[in-house]
Amino acid sequence: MKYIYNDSLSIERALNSIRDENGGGEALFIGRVRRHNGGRVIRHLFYECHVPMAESEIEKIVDEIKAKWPLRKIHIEHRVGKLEVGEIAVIVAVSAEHRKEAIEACRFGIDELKHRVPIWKKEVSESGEEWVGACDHESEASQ
Amino acid sequence: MAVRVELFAAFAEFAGTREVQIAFHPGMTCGDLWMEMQKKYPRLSPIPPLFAIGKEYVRKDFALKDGDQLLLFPPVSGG
Repeated sequence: MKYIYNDSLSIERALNSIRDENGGGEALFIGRVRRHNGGRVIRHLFYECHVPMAESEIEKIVDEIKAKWPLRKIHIEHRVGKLEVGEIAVIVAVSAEHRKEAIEACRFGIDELKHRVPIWKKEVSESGEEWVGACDHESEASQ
Repeated sequence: MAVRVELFAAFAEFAGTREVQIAFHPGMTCGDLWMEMQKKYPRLSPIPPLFAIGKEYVRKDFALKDGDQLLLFPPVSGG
């Protein structure tokens, strides 16, 4: 299963992937690059990734989600490389029979991805460049 | 007798290299190797490391073997 993309992510691809005739509830999380972070004006972000381990770690998260909730389908994709403000960095999409498990599983998916998957972002702002989580701004940047 | 260490993101940038060989000694753990890395590259010191071998995270007290290929990650920040 492919989870890491060098080119633009696709909301349509994610929604098509989770479509299911018993999927009465669909939950979709989209993470985009925002203009401001911690008072800094963002020019762009650069994402680096250890692809084989990232794919493997996301696969584990998918398996954990399937074990915890009775879902129909799940789809995760994460972008790497240079992303401009407004571009999509990550999509987590889940379908289930009902809304509760879809929303809970979607939340768990994005939270675990941010905690565990070996992906790093460098913020390039008007104030300079810095790796998020490896500097003094760690607590605010990881919000 | 060495462990090959692959560095990523902030670690690669601050060390100025993506790969480094660290001399292996029997009983060496990831934590011991991290101490060596901090001596060699003081700029890495404030950043809490994550260790992995292959596609699996390993703990700080994981016992390394001669010839291991260790992945050294700074805190992840995807999403």
